Amino acid sequence: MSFPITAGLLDACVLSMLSHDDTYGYELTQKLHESLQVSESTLYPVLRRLQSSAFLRTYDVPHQGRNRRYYAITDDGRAKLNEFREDWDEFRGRIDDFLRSDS
Amino acid sequence: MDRLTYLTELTKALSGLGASDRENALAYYGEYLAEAEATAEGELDASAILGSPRTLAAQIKADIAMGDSEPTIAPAPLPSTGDENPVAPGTQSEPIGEAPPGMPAGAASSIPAGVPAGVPSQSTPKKSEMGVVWTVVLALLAIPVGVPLAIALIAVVFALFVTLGALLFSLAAVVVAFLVAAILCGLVGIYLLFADFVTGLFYLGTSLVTMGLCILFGMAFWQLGKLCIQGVAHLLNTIRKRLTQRERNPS
Repeated sequence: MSFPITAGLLDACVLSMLSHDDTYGYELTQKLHESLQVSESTLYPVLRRLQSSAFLRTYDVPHQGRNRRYYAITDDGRAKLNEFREDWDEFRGRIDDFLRSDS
Repeated sequence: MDRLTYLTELTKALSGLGASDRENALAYYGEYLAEAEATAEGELDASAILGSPRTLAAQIKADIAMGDSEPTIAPAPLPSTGDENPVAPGTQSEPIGEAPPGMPAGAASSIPAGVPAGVPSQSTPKKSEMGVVWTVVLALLAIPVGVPLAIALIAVVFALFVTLGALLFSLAAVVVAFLVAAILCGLVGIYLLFADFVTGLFYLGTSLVTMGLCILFGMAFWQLGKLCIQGVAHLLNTIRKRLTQRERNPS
């Protein structure tokens, strides 16, 4: 892909994925990995950052004799996600003005 | 590299990090590899997924040391062809975040180094700030050693140049002086040949002797100049070799 994925975009994608369903690190990474070219160690710092900003919280669920750490979006996280979505619409609009203009 | 070996290596490579930062990272990647192993068909090559433990540890450390500054996202390695170089993925620099309280410790039971399970530990951003401060202090301490050495070296080479230059200049001055004297004596001698023949001959003789001395000194100047240029070139070459060797050796 010609365009790099910035940290802000990753934050937004993770928050959006978590707004539908709580999930754990591996699954998050695999979902992201399906469509974006990110390495498998990409999400650890992203999750750290989002958690320290209180956009995410975690809880552990026992699974096959060990714990799975699930990530859930907080109210602050949802607010942030809305902010990201608005920003994205504006950003996309500006780029579209160039890329999609026929004149 | 199998999962447990990988985590042991990662634990080793993460030493030097604060205890909670280390545990959080180990817990996350311990869980991650356990999940990967559960879904993998056959043997799991942990370093093919996450890159070498050292690289991953360096990434984690960098993220923590950089605190909350803006991270950069590196693209993923191209899709695996099956038997790629196990160190290839994950060698990129990674996003950066400040240390949050309590990252997953879920898979801690799979970590050999006795990491407590399920207890999110607190990590303060102060610790990482201190890390940056220490790094800067160390860098500042390291600079004054290198800079005066370089200045001294440059000063010595410069002094050598000035000395050799002065020597060559003085020789050149002597040669020119002899040449001027020889020409003047010759002219005066020719003039006096018609007025006072004997004195004229004396002057002509002096002119020839001076001319000879001029040629001798000229040859000395020429040889010395060649020697100087060769010597300086050799010296600079030696210094260059020493410097590049010193850069190569410690790494």
